[in-house]
Amino acid sequence: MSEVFATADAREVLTAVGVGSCLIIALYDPRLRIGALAHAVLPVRNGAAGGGKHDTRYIDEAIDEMLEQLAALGSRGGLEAKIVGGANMFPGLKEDIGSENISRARRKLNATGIPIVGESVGGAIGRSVEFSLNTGSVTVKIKF
Amino acid sequence: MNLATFLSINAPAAAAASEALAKLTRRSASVKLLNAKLLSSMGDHPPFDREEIVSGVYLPITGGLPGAALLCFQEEKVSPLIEMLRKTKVENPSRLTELEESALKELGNIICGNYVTALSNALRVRILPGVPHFTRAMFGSMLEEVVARLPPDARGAVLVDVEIDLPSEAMLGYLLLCFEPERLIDV
Repeated sequence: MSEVFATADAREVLTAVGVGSCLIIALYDPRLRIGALAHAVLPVRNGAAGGGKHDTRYIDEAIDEMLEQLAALGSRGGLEAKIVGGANMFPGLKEDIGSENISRARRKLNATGIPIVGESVGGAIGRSVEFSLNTGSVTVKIKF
Repeated sequence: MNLATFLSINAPAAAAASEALAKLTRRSASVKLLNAKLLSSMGDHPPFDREEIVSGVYLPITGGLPGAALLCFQEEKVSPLIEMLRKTKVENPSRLTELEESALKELGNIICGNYVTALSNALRVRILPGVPHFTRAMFGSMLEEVVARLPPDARGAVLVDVEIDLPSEAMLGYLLLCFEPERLIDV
């Protein structure tokens, strides 16, 4: 949780296991076959950012961190996004963190001009994710 | 966190929970609260694999020591537990009815409520368990949601083994408790 990982190694498969209200964001550069995966917990930080470093627990900052890491690996745009998770595991609770995470990611990705080309979001289910850097495919495992 | 404090409340909390469960089921009931392990985070040495389907009852904790309680049971053990509580057969364990979920929420209320009350008495701080919420899902996914609802600096957790005597066997569950560390130091 709260992690961002970018790689230029097309043999890599990035994973996240047992995802609930958190949001997994996969960014892929199909031209260079490089990508990044974020496992963000909350939509946005309350209060001021500290020290200029991204707090990757938050959607906005996790996406900014991914873009910086991908730029450092040579990406110059043309990215595609896939998002997974954002569930509401305890539907009786008033605050739906999962939905807020999904909305925030959609807004942020839209603002940065990155299209969402696939998603598996919402509901009250856990998901596991595998992101293949070779093909850019994201496989979602759901258990009932 | 002082482990001795948590160990010392196991017995009074279990006795009160047993009494409440006996009242609910109208038969003698035994709840044992065993051990207390300190974890550096709620995800540290989890009792289940992150992908394992479990049944969980989550209760927010408010008052002088805010935090969260998550009571979890292995999937295959849940049907006999509900049958003991409701005295009716569970037809579809993977799709519980509202009444069956409600029975588990009541059990969560009894165990977590009595644990929090015992902790409150031991620390002499007013701590209140909130309304219970039920889910059946991958363990990791429910843990994530609980952690997301905690303050960012809430890292330490306490793991207590919960043993409930059923007519045919004893079943084991787990109670995870997490509190804001700064408040715990104040206590």
